[in-house]
Order: sequence, then structure tokens, then C-alpha cells
Amino acid sequence: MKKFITGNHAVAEAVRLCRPDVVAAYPITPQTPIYEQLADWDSAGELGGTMVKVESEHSAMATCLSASLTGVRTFTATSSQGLALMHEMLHFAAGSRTAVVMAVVNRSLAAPWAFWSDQTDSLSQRDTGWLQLYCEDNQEALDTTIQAFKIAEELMLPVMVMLEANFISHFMEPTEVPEPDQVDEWLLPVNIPRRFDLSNPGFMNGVVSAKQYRDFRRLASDAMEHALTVVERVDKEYESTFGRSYGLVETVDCADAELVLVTTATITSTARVALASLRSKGIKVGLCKLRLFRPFPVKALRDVLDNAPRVAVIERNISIGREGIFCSEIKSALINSPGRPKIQGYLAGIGGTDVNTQLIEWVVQDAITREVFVDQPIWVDDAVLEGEAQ
Amino acid sequence: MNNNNTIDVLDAGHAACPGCGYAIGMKTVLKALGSKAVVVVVPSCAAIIAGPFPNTSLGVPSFHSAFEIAAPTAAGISAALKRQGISDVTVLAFAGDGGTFDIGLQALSGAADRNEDFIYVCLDNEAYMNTGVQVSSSTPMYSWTGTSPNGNTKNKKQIMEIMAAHRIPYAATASIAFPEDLMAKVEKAKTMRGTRFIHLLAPCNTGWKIAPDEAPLVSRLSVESNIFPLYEIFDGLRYEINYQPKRLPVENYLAVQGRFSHILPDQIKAVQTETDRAWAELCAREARTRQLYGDTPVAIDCESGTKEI
Amino acid sequence: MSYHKFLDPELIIPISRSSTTAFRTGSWSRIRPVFEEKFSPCSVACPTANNIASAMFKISQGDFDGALAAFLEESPLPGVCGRVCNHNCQSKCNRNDHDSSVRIRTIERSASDHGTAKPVQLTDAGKKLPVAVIGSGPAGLAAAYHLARMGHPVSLLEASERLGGLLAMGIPGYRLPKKVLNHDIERILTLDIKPITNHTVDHEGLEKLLDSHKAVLLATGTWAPTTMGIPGEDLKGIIPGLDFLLDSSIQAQVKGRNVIVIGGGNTAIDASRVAMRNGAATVSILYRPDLDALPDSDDEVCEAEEEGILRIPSHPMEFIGEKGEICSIRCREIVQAEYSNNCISSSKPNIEFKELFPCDVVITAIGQTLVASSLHSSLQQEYGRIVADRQGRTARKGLYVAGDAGPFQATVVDAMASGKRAAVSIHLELTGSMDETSTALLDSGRTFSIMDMFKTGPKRNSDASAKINRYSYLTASETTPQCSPTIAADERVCGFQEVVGGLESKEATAEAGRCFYCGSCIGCDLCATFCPDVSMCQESGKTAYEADPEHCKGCGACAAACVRGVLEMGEEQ
Repeated sequence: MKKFITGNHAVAEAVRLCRPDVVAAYPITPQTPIYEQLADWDSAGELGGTMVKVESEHSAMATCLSASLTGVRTFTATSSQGLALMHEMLHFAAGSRTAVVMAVVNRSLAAPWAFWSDQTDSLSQRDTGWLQLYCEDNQEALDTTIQAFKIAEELMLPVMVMLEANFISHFMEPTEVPEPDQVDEWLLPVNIPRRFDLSNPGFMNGVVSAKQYRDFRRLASDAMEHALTVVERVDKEYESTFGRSYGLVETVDCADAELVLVTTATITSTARVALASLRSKGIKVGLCKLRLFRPFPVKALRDVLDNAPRVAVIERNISIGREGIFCSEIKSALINSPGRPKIQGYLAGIGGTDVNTQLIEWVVQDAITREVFVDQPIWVDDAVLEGEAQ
Repeated sequence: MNNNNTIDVLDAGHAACPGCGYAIGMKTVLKALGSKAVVVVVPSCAAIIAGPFPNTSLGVPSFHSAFEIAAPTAAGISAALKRQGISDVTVLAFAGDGGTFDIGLQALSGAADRNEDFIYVCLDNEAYMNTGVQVSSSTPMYSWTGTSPNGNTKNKKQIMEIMAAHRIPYAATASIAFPEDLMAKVEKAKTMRGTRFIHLLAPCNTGWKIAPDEAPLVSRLSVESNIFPLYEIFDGLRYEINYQPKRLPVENYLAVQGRFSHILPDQIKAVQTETDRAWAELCAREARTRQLYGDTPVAIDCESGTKEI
Repeated sequence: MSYHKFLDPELIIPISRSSTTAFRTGSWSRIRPVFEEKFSPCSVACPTANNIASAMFKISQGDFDGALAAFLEESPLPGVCGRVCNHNCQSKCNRNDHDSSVRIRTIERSASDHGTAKPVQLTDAGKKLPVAVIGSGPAGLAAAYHLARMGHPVSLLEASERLGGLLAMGIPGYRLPKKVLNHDIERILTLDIKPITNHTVDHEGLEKLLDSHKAVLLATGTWAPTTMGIPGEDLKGIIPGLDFLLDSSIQAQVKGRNVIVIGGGNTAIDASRVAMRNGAATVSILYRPDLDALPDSDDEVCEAEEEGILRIPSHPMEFIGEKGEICSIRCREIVQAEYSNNCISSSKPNIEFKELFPCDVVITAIGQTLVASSLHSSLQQEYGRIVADRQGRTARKGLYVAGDAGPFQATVVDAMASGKRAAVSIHLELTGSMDETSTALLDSGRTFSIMDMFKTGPKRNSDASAKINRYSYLTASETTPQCSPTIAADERVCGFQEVVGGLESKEATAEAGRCFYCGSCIGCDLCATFCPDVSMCQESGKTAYEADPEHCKGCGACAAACVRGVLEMGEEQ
């Protein structure tokens, strides 16, 4: 059924369709509507699971991870400060090989205080051992959330689904909401280990030796590597039932491109428009949308970028002291690429500032004509844009 | 090892220091808890006692969670078990005083406020012992620790009052020196639903600077000298004192512990004064709340665990 | 789906399923708890080694039959001892350091009052080895009892018409009712004992007995008065204490008279109280702190004083008569130094010294000695007693002595103890089983347990009585002993009814509950409860707790919590 809803609402719809057993959450702007929507349904008896209205995100994750270990389907959602507060628990949830699914509404981290879209909050959680999927629009947020449960439960690894503050969380779009029985058929009831089985008692997470620690990390790493296959397969399975798929990366017009523009999330939508305009001007530019960040789809990316002469990465996040985080990751992914494309990073939309088609066109122009590729990112701010106009 | 055909759900061979009060406390609690239970431990000596991978001293399904999340971990397991249709398994969390009074207080408060369904046992050894004796908000006044080398400068935090303020169905103090009382309290807690809190004083021989064989003795002294009275609070409202102590002078308690070896006569007097005041306060509360609420506990809906006051 | 190790639920996180028992934490220490049941201090103080702790525990559980059986293990006269024993046990009670001693004697009486039990046969090894016992006082009864329990046919010869000796004749009924004594004697006679009363044995008789029996035990007691050796002792109106107690016609003579009793011990107190009950106008006791025996217990002194009897420390120098009849006693003052060995709190001198004590009747109770008879004169004597060793063996093979006739302490319980020791000595000798261990036990400390003799395994060391630690005191509440009902002084002096009553069973249970059961494991399980290493274990069906040496870290919490002093820490063997 098509509904005209916000991204938050779309995620909530997806969660309800997946019949979670335990939802633990805590309010934070701009995620709160997910929590409120689920609480509404819980009050009306429509959620089915148990809603635990915890006193902090930290406890939300503690509750989810322990419930997941008990063997039930769990969900939480957060954003920004809340995600940062959860950080310790994120490691714990992944290290305990839980199947928690979490929606993260990407929002700028304080200080200074702000409520705008920025991916640094979730990218800071890069090394926690979670899968990370970045969504472009409301529909993808809904679809990815449903996929996330299947992925997490198969891998026994937690999955984060990212949607951007305001642009997705609060913007309404027509969104296809699948029928419940369709989802029930596609996503079977949870079947993950019941760690607190009285008939097979064990003590989990006892202190391990150095070698044991290394070996458990290795297993998690192997599972994450394997996740590339699983994410891809699940996406295809989803497509065969629901008719929509997203891939690990998505490419547009890359085959003959002199420049491939790499984007994530909502910038992609704008880039699609800009790209059409640029192509019509005869500029050979392609688009590569990165959807999966952890595990990093090196092979999928290299398939696209190995032969591209130039790559521009445009992104809404920064690892201060280096550059945009996607850019660093892409550079490292292509280090063994025989063609060694030139790569330039652009920071645009930090703090939720507007990334419009003009900005993207400016980036493409800059990258395609640039003689020297610099190691530092280029801040595409007002001054740059105005300077160019003069 | 089983003794007298009763089940001790704690195995020998764990790595507690000789004479460990924590181990005595855990053993007694687990014995009363029985085998239909899930146990949560968090970083503390309890986690050491639980054993290093792949060995464990715990006989029931159990989980070593993170320091400050004993309560939400237990809540999550409890909620999930209910979703699985399992309602006859008790979830019990062990946390130390640091994990309860300090770093875990927010999470505990949240869970208690929601009246989540678990038993929470605070194994209180009055400092961060697992990290080698540092001051916590449970450390008593004048006590030496590695971070209060000249003696602690503040009184012990009143965790029972904090828990009572949440109006949880059951809160009780207990001592390893009164094993029957402790077991009865665990068994009583098992029959209830909602957040049940047991504050168990469990000496650390190393941190308290007492001999390996003195944990029960010192625990007994703590009760008999009124430093640590045994009482219950029902629904956060009705107080009931369980044991009339001998009211020995606090000096008896302080003098046997190396952590108080530097204490001055005036300070002993101050501890005595504070102890007497606290006891009078407790007695008054018991009398007042009994008058207000009678002898029977305020109504608890044992099924849902909701409070109806 | 193909197998991936990284997706194997059992392998992807650390799940401990093996027990920590694999870790041998026992190697941390070589100190281990040692379980050793010990004599309780009261039991060590008890000449007949009653297993008081065990009896106490049984009564605390309401098991009077069991308690009586426990007393009967060592002593055949619980009804008697429960009333007249000098209860050394109570003075050694660990409870004295806490509040006040457990009323052990009262409990023994309660066991006898409320319980029934039969003597237990220890062995039938003595079946064909008959033994004669001469005298049926406490020593003779005890010896006969224990000999019979070891299988010996016993001939029990008594000069008077009834059994009991001093118990029957010398102890007044207000302290020991006859039916109580008879009850104890009846129980003894359920064993293979042939009582022969009205039978006096002389020198020839002894020879015959030695021919017809494998051994003869002499337990004739001391029935002749000791003289004071001061002028005027032959005056009329001066009566030996035992004569007075034995003969009611003599007792009747004190009515309306002023009586002075000389002496400090039981006979003196008994004589004074009997005089009071026979209507004496006044009764005073003159005792010499440096010479006279102590009364067996404070209680009797107090009771006598309550009954209006004065106790005056003084030194009689001369009996002064008028027309051949006693009329006063001249004394000298007591000097302070003479109190040193005779301090009873209730008998501090409260009477001013007088040189002359006027009186109508004097009863001397300064001790007894062997009767001069052909039986005794044929035997070697020293200090008025027949010479024998600790086991009662005389110079003559097969002839033993026990009780006051021998060189033993002159109390009821000491007499019984010497009878028991001699009985065991006779048994071992006759069965040819005397060995080093037995000899050592027989010749060791004051207490001697026959049960220990017949027990397999290690024997209790009577020198090592159980120590009670501070935890015992800390955990025990302070309690007041149960009070035995006592008839008011003015009422009781009018007759011979028993002054002190027994406890109701509930009271007895409460009183026995005050006991620490020192040295006896009662299975309180505290050692196991307080073992942080889950290593203390009582094997099913056994008393002993044992630490699992593979895991015990030697912390000592078990021993510290052993309020009975059974567990102590020691080096691992």
C-alpha cells in the first residue's frame, strides 16, 4: 500500500511489519517520531512486542543486546548524541554477536549544538563491528530496515540503518508499505541462538586470553566479510518478492565516464538530477552510490572505479584532521587498483547545509578539469561557490 | 560440589581470594535462587568468580555484561524470556557497589522506575576492589582506600533510600553473616514480580585489611554494631527491621579492620553518633510506616508486577 | 547453507561450559581445616567424662531419651548426679565468659526426669569372667554397671539392707529423694548384676571372693569419723557428722537446742540443714578456711544460709564442758592469709569474731576415714586410704579399690569415676587386652571416657578441650539461665521434701539450647555455608566435615565460624 509518510514513519512501518519482540528506545531529535510511532502502536496493542521505555540510549542498547541474546527480535533507534552515548554498548552488542537492528537518524554531533543532517555520528561507529547501510530516501529506509532483520539474524551481527536528519526523517514521500503477510512470508520468525537456555547452561563472555580474543575477533571479521554476500543475496531475495533492490553500490552511467562521482544517501538523489543535466551538456560523468559502508564493498567499488580515470567523492561528514570518511575508505579500497584513478574529496552539506544541483555541478566541473589532485578535502562552502560565480 | 544434597549453584575452583566475602554471598544467594534462573554479572569480583573462558563456576545460564548495565541487561533478558512464553525463570543480576551506587545508578534507577522484572543483588564491598581498592560512593567515612589514603571524607551513600524512593515492591539489606536471613530474602523476592533489590554487605578481605577467615565475623559485627542493620522495605514505603542487633559499640567493628587503623578517637565518636542517628531514624520509620500501612505489604499485583499504591 | 565456523553459534562468542572445578585452587595453600571432635571443657572437668555436649544438643532438640542415653554412656546415676553432683563442669563452661554457665546439672536431672533409656552393652567379652564388687555406693554401683556392660557377671555385695551406700544413707532426702536413687539403681540392675545385701565381707570373706571371682573391687567407702585432736572431744553432746545423718533418733535430740557444726564440706552443710529440719533452736557452722573441705557447690551454701544457718570462719581450739556435757567452744581468730584457698563469695566473714561459742550440741564433720576392720587392716594403707594406683590396682593381683576407700577424690562423681576406671582396668586385664593406648588413657588426665575406649578410630585427647572463638560469643545472645523451682526457705525447713525441683521439658530445652556444644559437631553447617570455595562437605551419613583438598584455599573461614571449636586450621598431612 502506498502511503505518504516521513522517513521516520517509514522505518516505524518496517519495524512493525517485522514483528519485533523487544523494542527499547529513548527520545532524541530527530529520531523521536520513530519511537513515538512505535509507542503509539504499542499502546494500541498493534506492535505485538514489548516496548521498554528506557532512561538512556545506553540502556536501550543494553536491553536490546541482552534480549537479542535471549533469542528474540530486537530494535532500537537513535541519533547523534544518543548514538555516541551508546558507543560502548555498540561494541558489546557486536562482540556478543547479537542481531540487534537499529535505525540511526544521522544528525550533527555537539558541540556546537545543531539538529541538521550529518553522517559523522554513525561513521564514528565504524569500528564497532556493526553493519552499516546508508539510505537515499524513505522507501529505501523502509526496505533496508526489513532487510536488516534478515541480515542481522543470519549473520548474528547487528545492523545499523542510516537515514538522514530532516531530509529523510521528516520529509514526506509516497512510500510503498508492503502487506504484512508478504513480509511474514519473506522474513521468517526469529531463529537465533537462545543463550539463556536452562537445558544447556553456559556463562557467556567470560574473560578470554589474548589468543582467544584474537580468534574471536577473527571470527567476527570473517562473518563481516561474509556479510557482503549475505547483504547482496538478501537484497536480491527482497527484490524477487517486493520488486525493489539497491545493491551494495549503485552505478549510473559509469561505463564511459571520465569522472565518477561517488555519493551516499540523499546527496545521491540531487546528484542524479545534476548528472542528467551534465550529461546533456556532453560531460562524461557517472554516478556511484555507496549504500553499504560496513562491511566495505571493496570489490563492488573496484568493479566500478578501477577503470575510471577520475573520481570525486562528495560527502556530508568529516574525520577532522583528515578528510571525508568515505573518501579515505575509497582511496584505500583502490590502492591496489592497476589504473589508479585520481581521487578528489569534496566536503559538502556538513551540518546539513544545502547540497543542490549547482553545487554538484561545480564539483564535477572542478574534478573533471582539475590538474592537481590534492590530498586534502575541498570544502565546498559558500565562499567557494560565490568565488566561482564571480 | 553438592553439600547435604542441596544445590549450590556455584562451583569450586573459582579465582576469588581466600576467604572472599563476595563468594560467600554469591554462593548463598545462588543456593536460594535455585536452578530455574538466569544470572547476570558485571565487571566486579563476581565476574572473576564466575570464571575465565572456557570455565565457569556458575551452574545456570549466565552472562558477563558491561559494568554499568546490570539492570537493563537483566530487564532485557526478562522481557525477552516473557516474549518466549517463559515466565518461571528468575533473572538475577549481581553488581558491585561501584556498578550500583556509582556508574550503574542511572540504569538501575531507570529499570527500577519501570519496575522491570528481576532481582538485583548489590554485592557491596564498599570500594572498587576488583581494580585494587579505590573509593566509591559506598565507601564509609574514614575508610582507607587507594584513592582515599588519609581516610574517606564523606558518608556512605544511602542506596536503600534511593531504591525506596522508586517505590519498588521489595528492597532489603542482607549480610553474609546471616545466611538464613539472606536466603529467606532471596526466596521471598523470588515470589514477587517487578524490581527487587537486595543490598548485601560482602566484605573484601584484601580491601578491608582483615584476615582471610574474618569475613563472616566482620559482617556479623557490622550488623551487631548497627553499622549495617538488617531490614526490608516494601513498596518503598513500609519498613520492617528483621533483626534486633546487640548494639555493640562501633569501635568493635572498626577496630578489627585495617582500613580503619588510622581512625582517631573523635572520629570513632563521630561514627557512633552517625550510627545511632541512623538507627533511630530507621526505628522511627519502621514505627511510622507500620502505623500508616499496617503489617501487610501494600498491594502488589504479583502477576503484572505493577504497583498499586 | 554450507558450514561456516564464524556462524557456528557455539563458537562465535566465549561460552563457558566447563566447570571451574578443573582449577586446583587447593594448591594455593597447604593449610586445611582439621575436623577433630574434642572433649568439651565441661566434659573434661567432669570426672566421669559425661558427653555433655551431645546430651545438651539432644535436649535442645527435645530428645530427652537420647540425652539420657548419652549420660548413661559414661555414668549410671544421672538422677543422682543431676541433683547432688558438685558440677565442676559448670565452672568450666565456656558460657561463663559470656553470661553465665549452662545449668548442666539441672539438665542431667531433666534427662533423668523426662527421658527413658536402657544401659547399652559395650561388649560381651567379659562373659565368663565374674567380678565381685564390695560396696554399693557410687563407686561400687558405677563399677558394677560398667563391668556388666562389658559382659562380666557381677556380684554386688552390700553390708546394709539396701543398695546405695552413702547415697542411700548419707545424703538427706531434701537433696536426693530415695525414689530417684532407687530409679537409678533399678536401671543398673537390669544388667547382669547380682545384688547381695546384708553381707559384710571380712578378711576371710575377701579371700573366698578372690577365689570364686576373677577379680574383686573394694568400694567400701570411709565411714569412720576423723577426730579433731583438741581437748574435750570426748564430751557428751559431740556427735560425728555421719552418725548424725545416719540415725534419725540422734537427729531428734537436737530439737530446741543450739547446734554448732564443725567443718566445711557437704557433710557439714547436710548435718546443719538436717539439724535445722529437726527443730534446732539455732544452727551455726564453724569452718576453718585453711583446713576444711569446700562444700561441693555454692548453691548448697546459699540454701543453708537462706534457711537461717550461720557460717562462721573460725578455728576451734577446745571443747569446754559442764558436767561432762559440751557447753561452748573456744576458738582463735582467723588471719587473713587463711582465706587464700577458700573464698566463696557468699561466705565472706560477716560475723564478728568471738572467742567463745556457746552451744548445746556439736556435730563434727571434718572428714571420714576407713573403718577399722579385718578387711581393711589386711591391706596396705596410707593417709587413711588403701594404697592403689590410678586404675585402682592394689599390690595384690586381682584386687582393686575404688571410691573413698582408695586414694581418690571424695565426691560422688569422683567415686563413680574411680569405679569406672577400675572396671575398665579389670576388664582389660582379665581379657588380656591391656595395651599401651589403654594404659595411657586410663592413666591420663582427670577425665576418663569408657566410650572413647570402645570407639574405633582416634581417641579424643582429654588435654585438648574445645576452644571457643570470638565468633561464638558474637553470635550468641546473652541469656539468663532457666531457674529451677525452689521451695521457700521457711517452708522447706519444716520437712524433708526436695528443695529444688526440676525443669519443665520446655524450660530444659531452652536451657540446653544455651549450650555451645563445644567440641561436638551438631551439623550446623556453618562451616560449609561460610566456605567461599564451596569446598566443605559432610559426607552423607557421617559426622565429619572435610575440605576438598583440591579446592580449599585454606582461608580458615570454616574454622573461624565453627562455634563448637571442632574445626581448626592445620598443615595438610
